[in-house]
Amino acid sequence: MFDAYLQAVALIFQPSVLMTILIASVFGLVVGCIPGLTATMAIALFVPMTFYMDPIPAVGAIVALSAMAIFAGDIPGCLLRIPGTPASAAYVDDAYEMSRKGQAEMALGICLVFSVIGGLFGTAVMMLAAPAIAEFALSFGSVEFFWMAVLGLIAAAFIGTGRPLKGAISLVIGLSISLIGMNNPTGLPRFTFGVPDLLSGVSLIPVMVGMFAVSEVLRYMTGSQRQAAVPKLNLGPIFAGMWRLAVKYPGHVIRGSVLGTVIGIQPGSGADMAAWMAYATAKKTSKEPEKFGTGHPEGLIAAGAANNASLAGAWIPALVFGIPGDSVTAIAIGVLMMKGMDPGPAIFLNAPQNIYAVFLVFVLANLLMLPLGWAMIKASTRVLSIPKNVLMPIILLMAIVGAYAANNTFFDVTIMLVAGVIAFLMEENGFPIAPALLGIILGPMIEDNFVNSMIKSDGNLIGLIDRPIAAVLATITVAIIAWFVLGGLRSALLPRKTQTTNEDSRASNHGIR
Amino acid sequence: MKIHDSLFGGLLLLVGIAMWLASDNLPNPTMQPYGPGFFPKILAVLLVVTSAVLVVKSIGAAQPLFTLDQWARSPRSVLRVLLVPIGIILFVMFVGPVGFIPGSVALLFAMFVVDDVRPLPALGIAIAVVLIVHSIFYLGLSVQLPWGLLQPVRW
Repeated sequence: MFDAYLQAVALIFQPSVLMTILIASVFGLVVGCIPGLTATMAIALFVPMTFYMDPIPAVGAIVALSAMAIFAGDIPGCLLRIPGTPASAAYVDDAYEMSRKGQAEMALGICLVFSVIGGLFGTAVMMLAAPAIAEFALSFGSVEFFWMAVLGLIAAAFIGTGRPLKGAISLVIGLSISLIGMNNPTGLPRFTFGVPDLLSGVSLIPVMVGMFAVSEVLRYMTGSQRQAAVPKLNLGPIFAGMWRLAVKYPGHVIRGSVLGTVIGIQPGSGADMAAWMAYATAKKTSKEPEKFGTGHPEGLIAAGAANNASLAGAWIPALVFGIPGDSVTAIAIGVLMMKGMDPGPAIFLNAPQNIYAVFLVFVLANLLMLPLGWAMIKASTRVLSIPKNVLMPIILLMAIVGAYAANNTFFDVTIMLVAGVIAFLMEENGFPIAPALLGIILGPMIEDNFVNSMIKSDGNLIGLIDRPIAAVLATITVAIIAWFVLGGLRSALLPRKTQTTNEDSRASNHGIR
Repeated sequence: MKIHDSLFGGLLLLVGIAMWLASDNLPNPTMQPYGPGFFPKILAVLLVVTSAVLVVKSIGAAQPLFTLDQWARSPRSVLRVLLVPIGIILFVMFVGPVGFIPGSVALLFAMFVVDDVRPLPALGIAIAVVLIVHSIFYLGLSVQLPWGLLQPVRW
């Protein structure tokens, strides 16, 4: 293992790789900082460029980018009361109120320092848990992977979104899109409507760029065009007082980090869900719950740690099973698969240095966050003043070129547009899009493993559950489905005032957006 | 742009039925027990069932059938929104003969001007941005973008 770590260090600490990580970090900071541009949009725009890179710098860039973007979303939250990414929405009120009380540098400092702490905690869990789980997953065959993928998708659609019915529909839509083309076990073209460009299926990058970049541009165009005036910043020292806070509220730091990591592991729920739940938990366990919302640091500490911890947690199922823990890892897995590096226990066995390289990048990115984040805070006034009416068309142009660059065809740009419009309409009508993304990425995995399992068992469906691990996974899957279906039936048949709580409707979406 | 849940559900229901019909026609040329139509049929059934549930759940819901938000109120903002899909479609149609650089400049310029950027700075920014983006992708990543009208001066 030590050898593999040394190799990983050699892989990472090369000038070109480090430069890529640095550029990706700055890109992530800038995009995360600007409201209306999300972390997944940053990744969607950056990924076409990683197409031409080796897998390690590509994945390293994605890891660094996402970590930076999730932190940077806190900055406009503190300054403008507008979250830069949905992951920062949970504590935007407290952050803003602290700024108004003249404590902006403390709010920003908390967001920065505790993001780093949460991120490092999640990374540590990932580094310990992933190889151990992979060891266990070595005994997995096609049946177990089938159920694992189904379980992951079900969990993502039902649990991860908070809107089980629409989440399920979104999942089915995504799975259906993955059917298009010839890439199925029989090689027969499906749903291509006679269009030759569709023979190899709907390409992932244009869909992703459409879903996360074009839909945001459409959202901007259809929204109110107000550009908030950025207040003049007179920041004191940002890192002052952080140690005192950590000592005063160790429970929140730990609870936030743990909760964030666990939610990250759960497929489909990511940084924003982590932040909401950590905030709610902090409020419940606080000695001064009435102060939440008035500019109180406790919520920031817990939630700031949670959303960065979730990023690392999400990589655990992604690396070990190839099942994404959130939208970021969904995209990363897509990228890895395109480069022929299928995640799964095999990599741990055959090329562990690649996995350790990912771990190291996480550590590196979280440490880099301190100086780079500090610099971003200082530069934020300028960045936040970039006029949106100039920025958004540029984003669209980058999206177009990115979608084209993957396969050098403008047909992909059309795919991007269709995906963007559909994703926009879906989200406007309350359908989460993360399950659709997961469906598109994992659909082939489910079908391939199913067919292989059927071949092995000669078409006998019992073959799906006659191995112990498979039977357990199948039971859990069925139990989750039954829970939600029965719950839905119960609420439909029993007369009851249906009320969505504030928490439900605000903590609406899925993985990170 | 919000549509009543039952309408959305109804649309998805029709899509599900169409999917079932389309998968029924898929032949199974292999010896595999479950052919290419199996998975699509399962998904079709799931889609029909879940969208039916959605329709039933939302039939009485107090939700407007169809709402267009603020942006539909003024022709300018409608243009701004429609420019995205229409602009992209026109771009894809004409980028071959016109070329990436001229086409992108035109698209950016149009989007800037419709969104209240003054024409002269709009043109300047459009040209500068397109040249930068083109260079990143063409010079930096070797992505071949069509030259079109600029073919005689390609670099």
